Amino acid sequence: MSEDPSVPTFGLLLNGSAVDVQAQPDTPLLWALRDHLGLTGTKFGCGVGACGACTVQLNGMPMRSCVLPVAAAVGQPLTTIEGLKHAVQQAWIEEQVPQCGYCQSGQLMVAAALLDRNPSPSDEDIAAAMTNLCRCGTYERIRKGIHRAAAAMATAAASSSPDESDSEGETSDDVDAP
Amino acid sequence: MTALHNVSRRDVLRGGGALVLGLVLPGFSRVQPFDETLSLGSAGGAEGVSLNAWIRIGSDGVATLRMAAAEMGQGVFTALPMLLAEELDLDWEQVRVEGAPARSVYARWLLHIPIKLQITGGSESVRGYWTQLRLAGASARAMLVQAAARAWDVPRESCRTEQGRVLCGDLSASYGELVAAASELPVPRNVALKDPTTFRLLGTSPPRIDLPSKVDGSGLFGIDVQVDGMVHATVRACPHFGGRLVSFDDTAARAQAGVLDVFEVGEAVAVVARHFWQAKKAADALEIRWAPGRGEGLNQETIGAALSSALEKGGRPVFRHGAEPHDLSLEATYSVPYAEHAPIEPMTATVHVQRDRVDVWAPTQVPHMVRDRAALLAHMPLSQVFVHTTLLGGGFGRKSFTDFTDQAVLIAKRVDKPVKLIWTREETFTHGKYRPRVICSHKAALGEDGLLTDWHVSVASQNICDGIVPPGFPDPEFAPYTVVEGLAEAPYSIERQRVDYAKVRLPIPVGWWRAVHGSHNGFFRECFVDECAHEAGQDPVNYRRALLRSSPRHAACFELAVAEAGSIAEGQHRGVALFESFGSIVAEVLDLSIEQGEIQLHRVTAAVDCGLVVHPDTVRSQIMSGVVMGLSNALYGEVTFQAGAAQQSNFHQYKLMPLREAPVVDVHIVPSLEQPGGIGEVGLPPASAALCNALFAATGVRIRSLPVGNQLSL
Repeated sequence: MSEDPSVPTFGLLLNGSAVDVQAQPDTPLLWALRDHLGLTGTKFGCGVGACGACTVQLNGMPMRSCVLPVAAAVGQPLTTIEGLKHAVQQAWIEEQVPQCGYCQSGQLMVAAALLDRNPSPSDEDIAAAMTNLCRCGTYERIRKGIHRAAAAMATAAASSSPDESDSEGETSDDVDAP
Repeated sequence: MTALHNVSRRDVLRGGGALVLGLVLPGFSRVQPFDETLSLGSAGGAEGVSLNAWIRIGSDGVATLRMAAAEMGQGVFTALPMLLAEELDLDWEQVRVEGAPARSVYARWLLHIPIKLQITGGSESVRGYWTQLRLAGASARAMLVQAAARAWDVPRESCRTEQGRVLCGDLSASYGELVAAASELPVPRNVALKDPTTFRLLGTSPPRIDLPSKVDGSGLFGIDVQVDGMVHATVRACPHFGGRLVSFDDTAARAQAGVLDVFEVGEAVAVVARHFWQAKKAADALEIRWAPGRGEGLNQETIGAALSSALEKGGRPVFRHGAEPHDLSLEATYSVPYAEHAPIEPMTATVHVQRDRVDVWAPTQVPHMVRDRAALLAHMPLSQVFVHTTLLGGGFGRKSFTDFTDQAVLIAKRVDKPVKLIWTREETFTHGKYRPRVICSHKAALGEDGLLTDWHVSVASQNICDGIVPPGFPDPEFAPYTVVEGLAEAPYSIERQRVDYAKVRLPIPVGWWRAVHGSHNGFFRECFVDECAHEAGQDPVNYRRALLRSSPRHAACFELAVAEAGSIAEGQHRGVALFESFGSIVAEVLDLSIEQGEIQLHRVTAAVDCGLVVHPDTVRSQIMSGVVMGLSNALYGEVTFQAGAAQQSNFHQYKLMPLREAPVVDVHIVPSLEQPGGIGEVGLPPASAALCNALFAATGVRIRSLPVGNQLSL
């Protein structure tokens, strides 16, 4: 991209890789991802942080990227839907959650972050965390999908050997591993 | 790429069911690399050999099926392939799907208007392609059988098909092995379709083909299109409907980084820049003068007065049953506001205008119309316009208009590069094709048994068909299936009924919004029936039972919903409603409670009779979807106007129901072998009425005007 040399470059830790992006500092992370880096899985819905279609994970926390300047994301582990590898995605297929699917990248980023912090969320926990809008009204299946993923994660944890707990806490997550 | 064939000779599926072989569209070789990115399902399936316009089979047996309908969440990319796969006896695991280009071979007859279009709307995809696709599948199957019979020198009657193979005694060959020879055979003239009782695939719920691409970010929506050398555009359009662009100062906008051009396009100013964010910022820096024009003085009060006065003057009778209704003592007036579709994907299209061709990539419900309009606007022959339909990030009727694709073509004509136009959410909200504001008055009389006997309904609204349906079509403006759908021809036994319609002309653009007239008539009728029951001192469920005495199919659906809902839980209140639309009947029972001044929606139990079911899980998800959208809109949805300008610009002013408020939706399907009905819209019409009937049960307050908003002081 042959931009004006006066345009600054920002270093992102994107989906486990170090990536440079040249953009004006106030460019929202959303547009840096979509237009500058060609990662279109993160969606534009409202531009004011109201709908959640643009949700990514920054430091493992869900973040609405349409109102976050790219400059604010520098050097921190950043995961987009393209880099998400989580039990919740399989659960989404098993529950046949998406309809049009446009909001689902954002829904999945929030759901995965919720499950990483709270491996067995209650309906109330889900309602509190899942504030993203879905015009197709897939909410009930989103709720079921999260419960299904939680159950799958619990089964996987129970069947894995107990010595795995030794490594727990060593790496908070896999997003910053190159 | 194989040689081109003459489309005019080959692409027509004629009345006799004859199919055409080896269809390759002119220019397709250039379009295909892009269309391949639209292919869903896992990789595999080489080029393949076409058996007709819909079906291509690779030597590995992978069948690539072309979808003329757009996938916008309603599941057609799974349901329509099932029609083909059922008749063709495909191995479902080997089915792949790709979007079809806009070409007449992919058009279908509309159900109510005698024209053929490639359109996704009216809950018509399964109904509209039902015979066409099954014939295409059966015909391709016959050709594969014929090829095997020839190769084996056996009578074709001795062959059968199963899971992508032709079998005869010990002989067996895969479709992949047979397709080359089959494609050389003449298309059979008469093929038999399966008896629905022998369906193996239809009626089951294989996982939706499009979903893997919707959980990993790879699904390609309109806004995701990337073309080499592409630049970005956004617009600021006149906020006043009926108004115009007076002048603009683009000095500050042009000084912004990345801006390539600023120009007028219709009553809007377009900014073209390297990146979307640059275009958006530059658009924010424009100084534009607008004139409200005919929007002057157009506000909530004047619009309301126009509707009321039209209603008072009286419209034209559009439906009568029995003699003139008389002794009308019970009266009530209802209304609904303008509503925005609010798909989460805003309006967007990417267009490349070149000397000899135009390419349009768009999330559109009407590729055919997009093509025709683009040809007109770019002065290009139809054959040189290529429309690439992407996934739609929600449609709900909004993307059946070509305003945004037209605008993208006009912008692209001024730029010698591909241009992606994206409207901001604010532009999307304030330049909608709104569900019209509608008022409805009921005047009725009850018989000695309390049942509704005389009913005079009057409706006033703008008419969606105005300026859209060309003159000369059979009176679509007043046809019962449009504005008064469900008010006329209700399933209830009423002795004397009359429905009047008064058309109002206003410069606010209106359009097909999910469930269209069912979205308000469900509310108008089913709440008023509850009022009648209340007036008669009868239970709303029993009251409907009595009124449904001559409509056994409706009654059975209603009874199923009531039975499955069971008894009302302690502290909860119930509302019921029933509505037929798009060829399907839906009954809903809604249970809610009022908790600390808040409405808590617990459960909606729905029963649906949509005839023969293709994919039951899609039926359940679409009913859930319609219920949630109906409830969301009944509670919150309202677009208001000031000086002809919409006052809601983003989701903070046009609330959508969040997960926290969504009820459980429990869907039950009436088993049926009747002709299939629609499913994408039919869950919506009863929802608002069931809600308001339950609110009446809970509070004694009768909501006659949507949205519910804060009419209840809880």
